Amino acid sequence: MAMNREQLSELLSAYVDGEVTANERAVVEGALRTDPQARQLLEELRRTAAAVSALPRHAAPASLAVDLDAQLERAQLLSGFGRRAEGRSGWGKWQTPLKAAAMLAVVAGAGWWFAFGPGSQTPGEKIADATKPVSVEESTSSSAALLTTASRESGMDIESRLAAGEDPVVLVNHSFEPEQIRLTVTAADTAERDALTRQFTAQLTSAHAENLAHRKPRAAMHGRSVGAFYIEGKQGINYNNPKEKQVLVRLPVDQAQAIIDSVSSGVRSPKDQLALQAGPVRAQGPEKSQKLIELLAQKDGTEPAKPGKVNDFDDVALRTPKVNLVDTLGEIVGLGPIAANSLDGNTKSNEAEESDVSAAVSAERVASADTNESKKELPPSLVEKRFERARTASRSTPSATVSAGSAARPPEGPEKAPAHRDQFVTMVVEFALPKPKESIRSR
Amino acid sequence: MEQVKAGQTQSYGELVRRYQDRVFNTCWRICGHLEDARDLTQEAFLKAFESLDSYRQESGFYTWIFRVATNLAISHRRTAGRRRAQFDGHSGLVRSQAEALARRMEPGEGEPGSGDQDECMRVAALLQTLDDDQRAIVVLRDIEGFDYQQIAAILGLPAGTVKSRLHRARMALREGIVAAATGSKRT
Repeated sequence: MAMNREQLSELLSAYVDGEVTANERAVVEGALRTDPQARQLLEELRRTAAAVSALPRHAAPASLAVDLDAQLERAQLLSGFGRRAEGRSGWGKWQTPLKAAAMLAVVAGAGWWFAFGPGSQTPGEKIADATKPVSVEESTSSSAALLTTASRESGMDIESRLAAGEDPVVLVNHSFEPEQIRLTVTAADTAERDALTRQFTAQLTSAHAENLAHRKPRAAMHGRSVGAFYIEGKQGINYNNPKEKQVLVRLPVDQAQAIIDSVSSGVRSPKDQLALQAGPVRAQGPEKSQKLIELLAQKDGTEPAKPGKVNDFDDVALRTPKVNLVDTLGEIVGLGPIAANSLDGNTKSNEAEESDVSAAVSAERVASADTNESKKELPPSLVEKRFERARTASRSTPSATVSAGSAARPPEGPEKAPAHRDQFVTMVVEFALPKPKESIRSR
Repeated sequence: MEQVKAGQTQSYGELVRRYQDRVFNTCWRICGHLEDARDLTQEAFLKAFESLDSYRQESGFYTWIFRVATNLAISHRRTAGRRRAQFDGHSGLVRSQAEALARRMEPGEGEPGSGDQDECMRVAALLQTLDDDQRAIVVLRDIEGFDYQQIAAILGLPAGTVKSRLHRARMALREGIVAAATGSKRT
């Protein structure tokens, strides 16, 4: 086979790799026998390939798998939610899977009831309405993966829930990104939890459909930013305790960031937690606690409450009686007004002036072992007034009560305690410092 | 892969663990930066996962993931642009672009090659001087050990194109590698 030098050279390169046909091998070996330049070129090509092969290999960073795991979970959630959103009210813009996410879960304790809708239903009926399963999307690979993961982590039979027409659960309670914001909804029971979640998500989606924050994938990959998305009808489960009455609700990152900015001076440490409770409002960490106190005091128009006792976690609960906690939380987290529920069936929009439920935002600093200060509590008279107002607005049993002290303690005062348990809303915000990007140029 | 397509994330995790080192190295050698390689590797696995519906069984997962990773790395490299000679604040102006590139690649914790560190750095630097497509083929062949058919499947090229591009890449590298070896022999 006649060939030019270039063709022979190319064959020699393939010969180094054993990628020649029988005919080509014969040609090459014939040239090697008679052509010293061919032999030299072959040797040089072998040396070149060997030099490249000898380059050191680098194991993938250990953190890569961890971060990737979080990214995969997010991708599952986003792709599944995007498809769900498309079937709803024209949220086609949400079809693009977002590369990162921020999460917020509102912890609602036994006390806050939110409106499910108009009508004179009993609480149980309203809960039943609110917890009607949404149409369950057929499992896609991503959502199935999500559910499988959720099942695995929570121990709950998620697939059975789906099969039963119940809402799928969202894999939550997981550190997606270094910056993570989570509000956990805790309710008196799972039905209430579900109802609260629906209400929150309905409020969020309707109020903040335009506020999605999209981040560039590259930025997201560095864990420096988080995207935003909504989960309609989804419920979050605390997978450490699946039966715990918690849900998670996601909020746009810009609003989530507003939470951080508003309650923190920007100094964050890993695993920081900020917890707001309607009843006692708790913030973990003295800086955030004080910031929260000041924030709520500003809204209240009062002087910031002086810190009280500090517990092991530097909890601070802010108590600002004049502040409507629902609105306050709504402003802080960007939720907007959250409809209040009344147990007797009256439901109203939660405009602060119309709501028959008000919250006492109490501030206290739980005692440390070294101090003997007692918890500050809402003045019984104030609590009593609120109960009375609630009772008056209701046709039957009071719609809500406010925790005057710890969530477990009934309000004090001459009047009998409300028929149902103390109620509070807790917002827990967790965030951590983003990982600093190592300078490529640094040595 | 069927398990993965059925939605078991855990299965995908197994695939990740199986291929992450190789994918990472591929991205690293193509794009030239360790940190970018990390991001690209993550992105590749993520992208592959998101595109599972498009995955066809006729090609193995390694083809799939390396295709995604290689394309990402090449695109990244082209977007980032050519590296320029950098002023090394610690030791003064670097002597050549290749040396600057070699320093910036920072093998770090990787296992040392059979040659000395300088040789490896020089070869690594020379690799970065190649055309992006040529470099990808060299990496896939001489570092990752794929055969021509596999490379063709990964890059979506005819095998003949793989052969010719690899040859041109080696000829370009050969000058620097052989010349350095010749020079060291004389000294």
